[in-house]
Amino acid sequence: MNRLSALALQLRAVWMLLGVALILFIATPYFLTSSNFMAIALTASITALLAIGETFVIILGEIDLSVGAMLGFTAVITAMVLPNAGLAMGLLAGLGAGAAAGLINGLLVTKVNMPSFIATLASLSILSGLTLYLTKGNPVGISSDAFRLIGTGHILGVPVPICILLVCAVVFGILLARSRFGRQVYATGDNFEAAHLSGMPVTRVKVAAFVISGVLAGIAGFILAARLGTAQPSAGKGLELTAIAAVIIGGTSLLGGRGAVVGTVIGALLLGTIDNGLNLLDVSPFLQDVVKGAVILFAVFIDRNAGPIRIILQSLKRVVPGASSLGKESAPTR
Amino acid sequence: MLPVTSGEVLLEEVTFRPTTPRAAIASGLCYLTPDRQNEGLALQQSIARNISMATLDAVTSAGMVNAKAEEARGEKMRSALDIKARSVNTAVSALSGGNQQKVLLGRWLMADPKVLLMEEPTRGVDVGAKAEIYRVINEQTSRGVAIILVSSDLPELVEMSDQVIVMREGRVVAELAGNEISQESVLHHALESAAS
Repeated sequence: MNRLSALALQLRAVWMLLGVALILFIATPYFLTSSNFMAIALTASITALLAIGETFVIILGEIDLSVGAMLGFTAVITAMVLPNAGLAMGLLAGLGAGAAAGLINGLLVTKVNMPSFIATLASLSILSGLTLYLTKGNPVGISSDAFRLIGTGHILGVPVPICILLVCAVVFGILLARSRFGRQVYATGDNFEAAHLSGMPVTRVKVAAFVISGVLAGIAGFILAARLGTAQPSAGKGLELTAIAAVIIGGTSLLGGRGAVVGTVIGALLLGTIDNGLNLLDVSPFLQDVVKGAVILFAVFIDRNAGPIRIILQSLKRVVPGASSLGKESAPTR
Repeated sequence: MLPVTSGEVLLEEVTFRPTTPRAAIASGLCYLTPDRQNEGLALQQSIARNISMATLDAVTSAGMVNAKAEEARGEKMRSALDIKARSVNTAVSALSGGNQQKVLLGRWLMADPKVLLMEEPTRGVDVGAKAEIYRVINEQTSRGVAIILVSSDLPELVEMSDQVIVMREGRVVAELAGNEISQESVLHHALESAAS
């Protein structure tokens, strides 16, 4: 795969996002309002955070099915610690719980040699059960105003959750694209044995990816709890699938070795926009999942048939001289 | 890989017992796998990235990779080994078998080995790349690098080796040097028990 087709994969989500936006712009006057965009970004920020962590895991050729359950778990932990120990300790407890859950996932996969599908499926079940047990199934109320600001506050007019997402996207995007750890993630995901024989700390890299996934689930967890003002024990239910869908739509290969954070964030925005549009168009909520499934199929279909897109891009490159340097920028993995 | 059961390895007269690939590379032993597709190359990654896989630390500062330096090193190796590709950013999967093998060889040359253990280095490689690999082997030995060549290609062994150790059923049965090395003598020792 060369730079150009890698770029095509990154751009695929952008084209789809623009296409959906155009359709919605024509179909409903409510779509093109700044408050609506903020609403989309706010909702998408939760899935995007989960999906960024998932990106690391999927590039490594593994999968993390427990991100939704980790989100619910960490939200509840934060909400329970908060009243007694204060804001900082509450946040730390949430992040720590996420990191610990991720660490256990990583150790199960690397040290116990369990397939990640099985290990994280078990974690999903254990964590969501544990969350329900801790809360007896009831939402945990949050009274701290300072904490609620994380969900409802603004920095320079931008909602705090979106600021947090931007910071995480930049930090983890750079980590993946430019750091030694990022190189190790791609190499290990591409060819585990080759990375190992080249002296890369493959086990540590895998464990770290699962820990990153857990920490980001923790961040997403306290953002959601702060926005709602309560920690719902079942808050993260099903979110793992949306997160994985965002990663795949964003051009990351399920086979490992290929992908990027930018694509993932756009994938999450695309799914959020579709959700939003279907609501604006008053489509039955039962049909919304059907549409989302169709979008995933469409994205993967383009993935398999990238040829036509490549031809379009190549002719584009001839017309626009800057297009090749553009490819360099948006496809740092090649 | 099998565990060590007996014997010892000396590297520059010091007992050498690496426990991980990382430790082996650090002390100067590099291993060229015979199976470049499954154990050697990260096929979706670029030439430059594959070449720097064992020596990432050299282009890393404060945890971040200097991509420019990485590409420059890749470029140097590309011209040194005559790797035929559009650029060092081309994915390795797009290369021919011979050029892929040269990328893998380039990774290990980058690590500046004292001992280079090569297993079937010319398997599935075209004639041009084969000649190039032999040239590199000779260049390395003249620089003082020890090459351990494991090969089932008899003419290759006879042509390249200063010393041949013949093993049969896991045991050393002959050590040949200089004029003793010929296809006949190697075959003779390798098949001795089968004949008797």
